[in-house]
Amino acid sequence: MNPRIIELTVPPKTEVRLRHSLALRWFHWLNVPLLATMIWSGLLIYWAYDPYEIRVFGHPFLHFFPAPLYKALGIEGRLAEGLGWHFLFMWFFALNGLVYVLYLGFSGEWRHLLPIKGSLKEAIQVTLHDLYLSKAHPKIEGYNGAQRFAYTGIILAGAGSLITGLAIYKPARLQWLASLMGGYQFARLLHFALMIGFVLFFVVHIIQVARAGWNNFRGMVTGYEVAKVEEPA
Amino acid sequence: MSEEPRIVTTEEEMQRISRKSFLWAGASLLGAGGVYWWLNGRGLQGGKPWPFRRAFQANETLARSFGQGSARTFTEKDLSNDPRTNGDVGIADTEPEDWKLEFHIGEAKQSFTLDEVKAMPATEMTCELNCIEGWTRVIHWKGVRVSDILAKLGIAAKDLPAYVGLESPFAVTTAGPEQYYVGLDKESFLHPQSIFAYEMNGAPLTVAHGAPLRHVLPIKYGYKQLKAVRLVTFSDERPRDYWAERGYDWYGGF
Repeated sequence: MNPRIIELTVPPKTEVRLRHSLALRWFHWLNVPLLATMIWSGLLIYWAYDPYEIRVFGHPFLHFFPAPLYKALGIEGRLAEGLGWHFLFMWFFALNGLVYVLYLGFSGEWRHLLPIKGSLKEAIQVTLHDLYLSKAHPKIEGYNGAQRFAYTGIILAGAGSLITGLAIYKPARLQWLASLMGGYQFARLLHFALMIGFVLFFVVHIIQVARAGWNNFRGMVTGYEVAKVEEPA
Repeated sequence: MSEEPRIVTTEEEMQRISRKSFLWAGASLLGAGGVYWWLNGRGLQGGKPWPFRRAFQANETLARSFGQGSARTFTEKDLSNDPRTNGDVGIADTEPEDWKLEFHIGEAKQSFTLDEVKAMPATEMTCELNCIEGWTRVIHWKGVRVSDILAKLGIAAKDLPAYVGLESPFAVTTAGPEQYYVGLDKESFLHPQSIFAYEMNGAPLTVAHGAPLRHVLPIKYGYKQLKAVRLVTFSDERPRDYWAERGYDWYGGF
């Protein structure tokens, strides 16, 4: 069959454009249940000794976590279960993160992610805009400065979780690492703080995805977006 | 038989791609749920679905391939002023009467009175006690190195079976409070920081802290460090372990 060439008299105004590679989407979506499992099992472990709180002028302001929350989530008295999940899924979480970072390196996609010159200024502009404090939004191709900092930061947080996790998992064989992390208890605090960081990232991430709309979300699932065709110059 | 050529709109093309991707997404969600369901439904080994038990064991094998390491030591100024007891499993209200430290090695039996233990060269160390719950206490211990006791018995490490079982007094009489027993690998038991202690923070051990003699092994969690040690046995099989029967890692080592 001969291919037929159809010439359009009216050029299309939109097109289907690749936004996220298949590999990137797998890393992203695999990380969802893996990180959720790590945080959930981490909470089952943390419950057994939960000393952290935020104090304001010396007064307890927010205790991690209030007893009713434990009760509501049903995480009391499940330490052994939490340890089982944590020390099995740590391998999959670490592996997914490691392969993701290697992929970024070899594919060159790290260029889309790492902050570049001007990212900081851009990040401030975007943040002010998204908090309704400013009307100006910088015109940007690809990830904006705020995204670059967020997506690079979350990789560092993942690496930090693995390092602090190792320090509290094997403080004798890795005594040097535990010392580097400020000792066992400080490493445990850092490990916890990074978890809070993941949760805060998640909250902002979900809000931003909701604001960006369906086409953007569908892009993360399918890899493709409906995009405007640029006018020929 | 030729179809009319027709123009596929952007939306149609996007719908085709979306249908495929969202089917994949749905299947993946089902898959993730399936993994969760499968893991939780496996037969129990020591109170855990076996894949989690196997993961503990694989992690242990990997850790042990890196050698042993040693626990960080502290100074007197780091001491915690509120050592915790955190449980009374295997602990009686009063110090066990006619207490002796017994070693069963094959058919041979050896025992020591507390005075005999105290007459051996003493070892002191200031280490962190790490509870599996997450809290830690820095404690100063005085006692006898396990390896010194074995030397006294004239036993070479290489002649011992691979595993060691420790039991508190009530494991022998099977009367009184719930029994507590710990299983250890030989290498950990013979570690230089493995001691039978009779003094804690400069004072004789109290009953709640494991009088008259407790095992201190800072390269493992507290649940692997038996209080009120009465009996030490050796075997080629892994001895039973109180907390490993309740869902915790048998190894429990750092």
